[in-house]
Amino acid sequence: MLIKLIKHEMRAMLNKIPMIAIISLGMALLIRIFTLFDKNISSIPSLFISFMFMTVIFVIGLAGLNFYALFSSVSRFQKNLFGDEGYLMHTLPVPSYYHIITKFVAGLITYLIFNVLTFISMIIAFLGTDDILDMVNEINNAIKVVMEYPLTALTGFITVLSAYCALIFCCYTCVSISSLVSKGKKGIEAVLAIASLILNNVFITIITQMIDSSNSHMSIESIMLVYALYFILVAVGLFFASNAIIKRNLNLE
Amino acid sequence: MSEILKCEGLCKLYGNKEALMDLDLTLESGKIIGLLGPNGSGKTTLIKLICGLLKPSKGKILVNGLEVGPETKSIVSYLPERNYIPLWMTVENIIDFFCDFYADFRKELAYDMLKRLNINPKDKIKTMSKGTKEKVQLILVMSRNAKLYLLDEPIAGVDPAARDYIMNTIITNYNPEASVVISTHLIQDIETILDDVVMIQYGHLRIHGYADDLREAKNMSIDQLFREVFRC
Repeated sequence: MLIKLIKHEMRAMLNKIPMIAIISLGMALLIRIFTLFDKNISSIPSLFISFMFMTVIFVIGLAGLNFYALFSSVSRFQKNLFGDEGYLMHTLPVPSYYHIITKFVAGLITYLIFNVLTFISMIIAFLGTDDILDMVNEINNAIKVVMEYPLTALTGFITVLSAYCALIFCCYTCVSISSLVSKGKKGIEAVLAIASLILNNVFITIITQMIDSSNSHMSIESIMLVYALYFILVAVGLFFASNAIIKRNLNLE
Repeated sequence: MSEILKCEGLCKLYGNKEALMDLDLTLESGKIIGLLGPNGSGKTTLIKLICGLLKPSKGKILVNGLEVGPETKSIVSYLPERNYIPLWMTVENIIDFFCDFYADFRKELAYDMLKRLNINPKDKIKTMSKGTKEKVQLILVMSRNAKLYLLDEPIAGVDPAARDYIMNTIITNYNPEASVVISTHLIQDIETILDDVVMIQYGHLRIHGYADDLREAKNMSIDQLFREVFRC
């Protein structure tokens, strides 16, 4: 049942991706074409301004894709579980935590797809043939460095991933709590999000101070693992909190 | 006959507002039951509680002897009073969805009903009229071989011809060993098919009995009885 839920969720999420892919790859291609006529563009001010404007929009758009991945995951969680579609989802013969896991997995996959899309768009827009060869060399060098410090790279990756997971579950919990009330849901979500960010910063500061004040010299890997452990605990705690709210207090008025 | 639904001391509060108060109700299987009451009487709240879309403030609900959960959801077929199908889906998509999650879903029956209604399975829900969306939902719900059908206002807001079609679909497609609960205040349209009647007002049970017995005892139709009981 969980696999089937994920299949349907991915179908819903992927529904939006082709349009975003067409826009970002199309813009990348346009910038590429403009760049081919670089000298001509510089001599025509209006064309040059248009090119610069489009490039800025393109870069901002690509940076925004990661935020969009998070936003679309949270928006799906809200609409699909607490909107009209919730009448369909919550009458399915599956336990409530299946819905949370499904949204989380689909959200992570979308995040990954958007990152790949960003990478490809950047290559199309800004790199020529020679640059690609340079870039391959750079990537090779980077891989060599990573292979020299695999543990550092691995712990770094785990820390970033666990932080993203904690962020997703934090958003899910805010949405779940706001579903308990009939009015002012958006306001409550905003207040909860701000409060949880402040609380998170307080905890991070406390952990950092504890690490700094400890006499033992911790390696960079150990420090990152401490942060990763904190994020994992937060994510697991918030997963259970969201599930408890949906399971015990579902309120589709 | 076995009990398909049992509510004991059921209460539901929305803040301080009482939607259902100390409701005790037992429904037997194999019957068509009219859940009747004026607007705001607690009909939809009761149905949502049985489906698990709301949690009771107090009391207990047993569906086929089980507390509301994934097991009961697999035997309950629910038609809400709103569109719950994601708009981006096609009719084919939503049929596949039901096939995946409900073991009792009869795909051939669903396609047969779609064909009779001239609804193209490749059409997107987004492009359909309100009436067609309602028909698709009804087809999905009645294509299941469930033990309990909960139909919340299935004939509200549709024209008389569509009402006939809806009532006909319900009668001809439900599992005869199952129970069908129809919530409505348009009693005339469903009176002839009712076996049992449940009337609620302000969250309290007012009348529960066999439709024929009530007609005989009060010497009036269920529609007249409704007007009598809920006279403003």
